[in-house]
Amino acid sequence: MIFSLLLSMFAPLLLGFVLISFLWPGQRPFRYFIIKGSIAIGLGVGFLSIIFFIWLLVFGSSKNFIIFEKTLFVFLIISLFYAFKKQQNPLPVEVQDNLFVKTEINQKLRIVFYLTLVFSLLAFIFITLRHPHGGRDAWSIWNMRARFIFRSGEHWQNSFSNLLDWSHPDYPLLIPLSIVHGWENIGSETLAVPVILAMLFTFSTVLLLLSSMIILRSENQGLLAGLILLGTPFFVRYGATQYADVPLSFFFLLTMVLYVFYDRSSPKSHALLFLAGISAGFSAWTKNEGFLFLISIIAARSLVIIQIKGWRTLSKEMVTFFIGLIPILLIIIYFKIYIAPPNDLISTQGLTITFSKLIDPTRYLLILKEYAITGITFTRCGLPLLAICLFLLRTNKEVKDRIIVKTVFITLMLMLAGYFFVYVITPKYLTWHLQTSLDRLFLQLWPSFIFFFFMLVNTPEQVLSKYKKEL
Amino acid sequence: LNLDHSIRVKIGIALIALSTLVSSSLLLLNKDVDTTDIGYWYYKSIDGVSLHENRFKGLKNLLQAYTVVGYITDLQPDKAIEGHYLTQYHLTQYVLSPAIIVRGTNYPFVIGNFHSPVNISRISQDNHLILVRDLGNGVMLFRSEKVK
Repeated sequence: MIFSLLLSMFAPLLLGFVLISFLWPGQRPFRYFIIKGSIAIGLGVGFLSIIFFIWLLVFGSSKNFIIFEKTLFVFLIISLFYAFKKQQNPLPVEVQDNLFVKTEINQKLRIVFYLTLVFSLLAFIFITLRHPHGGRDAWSIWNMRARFIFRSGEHWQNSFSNLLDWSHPDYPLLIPLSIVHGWENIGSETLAVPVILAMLFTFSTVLLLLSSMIILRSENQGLLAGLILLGTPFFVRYGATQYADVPLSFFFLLTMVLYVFYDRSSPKSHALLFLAGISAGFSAWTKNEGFLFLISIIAARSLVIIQIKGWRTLSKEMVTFFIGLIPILLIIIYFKIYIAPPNDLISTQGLTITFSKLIDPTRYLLILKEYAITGITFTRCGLPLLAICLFLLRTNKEVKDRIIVKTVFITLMLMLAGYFFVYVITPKYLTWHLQTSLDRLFLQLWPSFIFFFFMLVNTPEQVLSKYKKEL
Repeated sequence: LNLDHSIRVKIGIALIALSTLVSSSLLLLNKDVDTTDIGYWYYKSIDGVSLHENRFKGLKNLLQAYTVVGYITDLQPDKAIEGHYLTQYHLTQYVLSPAIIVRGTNYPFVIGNFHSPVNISRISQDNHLILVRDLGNGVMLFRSEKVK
């Protein structure tokens, strides 16, 4: 069973790694191993869930999928071998040259980071042992949907019955189908599959943030960013209780990271934009909030590129981005139209009630109040630590990555505004809706916000060397 | 304090490192839980889901996979989704899927989920139900007299 379990988790990893190796070639694979590994997890899990969904639609049940997957597996190993053998030109991305320059503080920071990582891993394991089925959303939405699909065989579409409307049957299927895929490989239901999936996404998000920041800025900057994310207890706790907000935050962050690498590539690598489109698509395949993210990132990027580079550049960019996005989007649209029942936030109230809520100032005040309170408290020490960083490191006045810094900032603002208006018109009891979901919505944006922040401020290396020069 | 900037940067970074280390240690020791958190009961409790799954183990084998089954309980309905009433109902659906569990008795078979000793004959009479099997721990399966 352990072998089957490992194999079921290894398959998406391999698929993602083959994809990333073809689209993002490099001569120094070890420098990029962590970032490519963490990207591979997200892409692989996303693609396998999409392939599995198409299989279910075409053949009616998961029967024989494992035979198909094993054939694919052999093909992938050959492809990986071919990818490494073929001497492709490395992707021309401008990175920091002094990646691993030893400074006085980075040895100590490294030790603290490793310790925090070990503590977080142990905490993840202990929380899992206390709650192996995950938190409420995990068992009542994602794991239950997975059970339905796995146990129903050819009747898998019963999982989306209107009689189960309280379990949000319109939610997308990346997580449930990835769990079912693991169970199909093993041949039985085991709680280990959703646990491992949650662990992969939680720590891949940390590693993606850490490695991208190390490559783009400096090692100390990466360690600080990784530490602040790991030091957010909320992030690890929600990861361990298998909430889909953590995988969603991974895809938000991944899209932003791929955009920076695209901006830094010269000549421009359209493969990275293509991957960014795929990643944004997977966010909408993970949770409905991913749709808001799609709209936000497209709008933000358009605003920034039109202002800085003009329409022509924007249209070229968008074509490549949409080539990655559209196949996934079509599958999600098919799911939403033909399989899923209507969304409860949209379908349960008429236009008159929606309009009356839109013009009710008390709702705006209540939401603003909760935004302020939750915004300050949800990270516990995360925001105060960022304030300390800002005070010490100061913003970098010569921001090299001005385009992405603006893009990420506008995207985050649009997301916050979008969430705000969803609360304004929600058919649910507003106070309850805010109390049970706002912190998780902020959590979805938290890794991207940390990324934005550390792209903006000076690195410790810059500050310390500047001081030495002044002396 | 008249500290030069490089020392301030080092102290600041040390403070950040220490805070994150303390924060993850508290999480590890399970001291992090915010008692004002609406979901506190969940983190405080032991694995309630597995306990529920064990209670309903016998019933799971009796139910046909794709049937829609009714559900009655002695718990009082509450509005809060985190409340005991809805949590028990949702947990029952989770453990018994792919059978679909619907609150009410308008189905040929009805599940009973009781937490205190109940008068079965009265429940049967009030809801036009016939007890098919008492599986213990307050879990019962009824057949409806009015819906075939």
